[in-house]
Amino acid sequence: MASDPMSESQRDRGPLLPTGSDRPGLPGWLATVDHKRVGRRYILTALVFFVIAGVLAMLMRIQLSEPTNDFLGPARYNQLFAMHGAMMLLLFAMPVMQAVAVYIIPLMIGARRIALPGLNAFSYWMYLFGGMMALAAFLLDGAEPAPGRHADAWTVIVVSSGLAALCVAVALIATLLGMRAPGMTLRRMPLFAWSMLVASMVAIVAMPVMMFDVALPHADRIAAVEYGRPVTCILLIPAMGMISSIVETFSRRPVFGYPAMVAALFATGLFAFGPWAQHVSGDGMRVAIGMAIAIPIGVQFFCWVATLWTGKPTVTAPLLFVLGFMVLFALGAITAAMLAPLPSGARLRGSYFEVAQLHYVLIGGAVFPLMGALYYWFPKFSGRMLSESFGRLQFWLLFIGVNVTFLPMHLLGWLGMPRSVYTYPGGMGWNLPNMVASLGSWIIAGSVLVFAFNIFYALRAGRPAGDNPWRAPTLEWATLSPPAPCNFEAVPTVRGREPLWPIDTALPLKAGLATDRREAPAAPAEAHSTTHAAMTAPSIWPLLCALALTALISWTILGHGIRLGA
Amino acid sequence: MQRGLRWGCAFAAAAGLSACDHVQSALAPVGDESRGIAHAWASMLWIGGAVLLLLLLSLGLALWRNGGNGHARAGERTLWFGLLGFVVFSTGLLTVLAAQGSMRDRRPHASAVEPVHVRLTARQWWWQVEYLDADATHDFTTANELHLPVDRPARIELRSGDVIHSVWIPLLDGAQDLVPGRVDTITMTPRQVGRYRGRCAAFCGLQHAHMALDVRVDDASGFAAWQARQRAPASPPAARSTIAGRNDFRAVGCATCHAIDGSGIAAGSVIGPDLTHLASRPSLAAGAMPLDRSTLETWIVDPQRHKPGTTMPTVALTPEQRSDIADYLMSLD
Repeated sequence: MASDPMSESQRDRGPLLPTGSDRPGLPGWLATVDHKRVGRRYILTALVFFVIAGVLAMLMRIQLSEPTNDFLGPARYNQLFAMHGAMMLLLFAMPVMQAVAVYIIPLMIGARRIALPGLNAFSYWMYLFGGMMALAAFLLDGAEPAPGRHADAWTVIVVSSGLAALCVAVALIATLLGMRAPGMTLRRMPLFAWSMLVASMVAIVAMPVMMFDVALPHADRIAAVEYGRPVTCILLIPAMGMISSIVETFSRRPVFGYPAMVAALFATGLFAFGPWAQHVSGDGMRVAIGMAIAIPIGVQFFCWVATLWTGKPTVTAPLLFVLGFMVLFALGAITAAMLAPLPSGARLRGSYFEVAQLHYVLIGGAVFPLMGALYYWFPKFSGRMLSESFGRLQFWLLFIGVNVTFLPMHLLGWLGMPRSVYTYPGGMGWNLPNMVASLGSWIIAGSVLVFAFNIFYALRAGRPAGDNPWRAPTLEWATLSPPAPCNFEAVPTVRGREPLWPIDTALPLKAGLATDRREAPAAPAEAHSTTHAAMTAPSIWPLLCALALTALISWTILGHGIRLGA
Repeated sequence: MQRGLRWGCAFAAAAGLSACDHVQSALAPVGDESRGIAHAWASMLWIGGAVLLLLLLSLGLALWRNGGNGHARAGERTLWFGLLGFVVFSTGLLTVLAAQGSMRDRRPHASAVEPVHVRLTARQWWWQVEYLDADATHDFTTANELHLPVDRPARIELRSGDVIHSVWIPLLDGAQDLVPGRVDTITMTPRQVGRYRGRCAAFCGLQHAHMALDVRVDDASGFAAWQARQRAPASPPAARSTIAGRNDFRAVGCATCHAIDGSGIAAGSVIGPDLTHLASRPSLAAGAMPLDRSTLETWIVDPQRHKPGTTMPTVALTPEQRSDIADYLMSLD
């Protein structure tokens, strides 16, 4: 090993800390390439889109709360539901997972920065401008329904968020493969890091296809089949990594079955493309390929339960959200199997049962793990603890709200209510379940309000967190909360899969980095660090490039009007 | 299957609903196809329920037990064997399910009884229903209603006139897509006389919500009588108002889109539903409203108010014209 352990501990905070920091004020804000600032921005923006898309959903639920309601007309309602889906999936769920990774991954693998920081910053601006363009198109258009317009907004969302996701994926893969701390071999990489590696690979394959697909006329329906699953996996696989981190920390033992977990992540990534095998001969074979994804997911569930079983679990807010994930996602995944192209599936396809199933998978599989991850890493982001009691309150509101909203939709499907309708006749037995579902959406809104309040409260008056409040085993907890611009004053050296366990053992550090220049160790694949790469200086170019490209895309799609078949 | 059914009804009853006699519910199937689907569904429900229960139990036990010894890796060997067993078991389970899936066959199969031949064409946002016969002069066209004889298979040819639609008659069969440029054929064998309701189950645009299909399953003689009635041309107008109504119908342009067989009104192309026996249908505008004299008149006055976005334009009519046209159309039984 080329590194020498240094005697000084990470806690001695020396002159290097400001290294890599941005200029103060607006110019620094616009030009930053610091993965932590970019990551924080990404998370915040995604949460704003989450709230907007959630408000759209509530408007739809108001419309559907009673039969033959005329709160929204068909044109407005159809726009809302197209926008709700696109925003939730492409402007919230997929980016927010990558956003957490942009913040956490370099810290978790002991890197001083993200690889390709300029590209990473560019991806954020692309995502922000794309989202704003789509929102503007939607709002301006809301007044007069013109067929095809929302399809254009949809194209802007897909192209810009797809491009952003692609850039982040490239940056994360480069970081994970090239910048790990000395001693962190692939075999010692945390499972969240593995999950991001796999999810990024899926993104690199799926995103260009998706972006190309929407540019083709009449592609919407086919496209939904072909990239729905890969996109779901791009947000699901990171969620599974987050869950592994949380389960490990709060079970007080390493995750059981590490090699099986890594294999399962790769298998999940591979089977993400199962639906692309549509033209494989034989119904049975196609069904088998489509459903095979259940096996790696099942393996992960097995390992998490085994970890909890053999560990000493403490049920704090982050773990509570993970448990919520397990229940809701399992229900969604099982009902998904029932709707798979099996004989049984024909029964309720196209009905409200499908809406229920979809939301159990996506809320269970993305929102709950994300909430868990935010409660888990918020101390690192901010240096302060979120309130545990508000966390529990929020969990129960969300868990109950989701079930009150979406459980009755299973019943609606059985009673023959089709999905995507802006209104329905009375006297079909649908009134009560619809009213219950609509009331449930207010409970979910309440939980989001509690969360927002919890964040404000914590930022103003939260308990100081310290470096490692959860006594967690991974490297992001070995530095300050929030970390200094250069992440680690002295780069740690890794000796095992859980570098900080047993807790209170001193972490060996990497020596030989300059203290007067921006330097970061560049570790080749097996993490024997020999060379030092310079920290990247802040730059305004990512912002300018994103502005130019957004202008180009908007002009091409919205101005010139490549119309999709409506 | 019966067990699954009872379970479903109990579930619905528990939710405070009397859903089991419902016209558009998937709970109590009355056709061969829907019963087969319900059977497969019930087995999936049991498997899925068992898996979920197992997960919840082990999760609850793991938390309640809280008995590990921290960082030591106790009993890992047993766990690895457990994991192996889990993988083998779930792979086997999926193989069985996939095999079951490949045995599905929705293509029409040979049957002892001559099937009824129907061509169902979905359009934005209504259903064109053509009954085809070996003798082409017996063909007839109707809209938004599907009559089927009980205990006799119906071969239904599925087409779309514009975008992708999906026909879903929960009591008779699962949903089946209607794709432009493609012809799919399915078979339905209803086993119980009654009135049911079908739906478009794939988002197809502005008025996807109002695209229902009235389904009537009749005994053999009832079906034959209905067929004979539908084959006959429209009854010629006799009263003063119906004659005036027919003339207005032509004059104001209704006949551009709507055909009325036997009255010299043939539409240039299929834009709107055939109205030859309109008055015999239970509902109007693809289930948007029940059909009677007054709903028909409000519909004619302003279709865009009742079904915003429908292809039927609002035509300026005098009160007398609208009343005459409604009288005429209501005489077409």
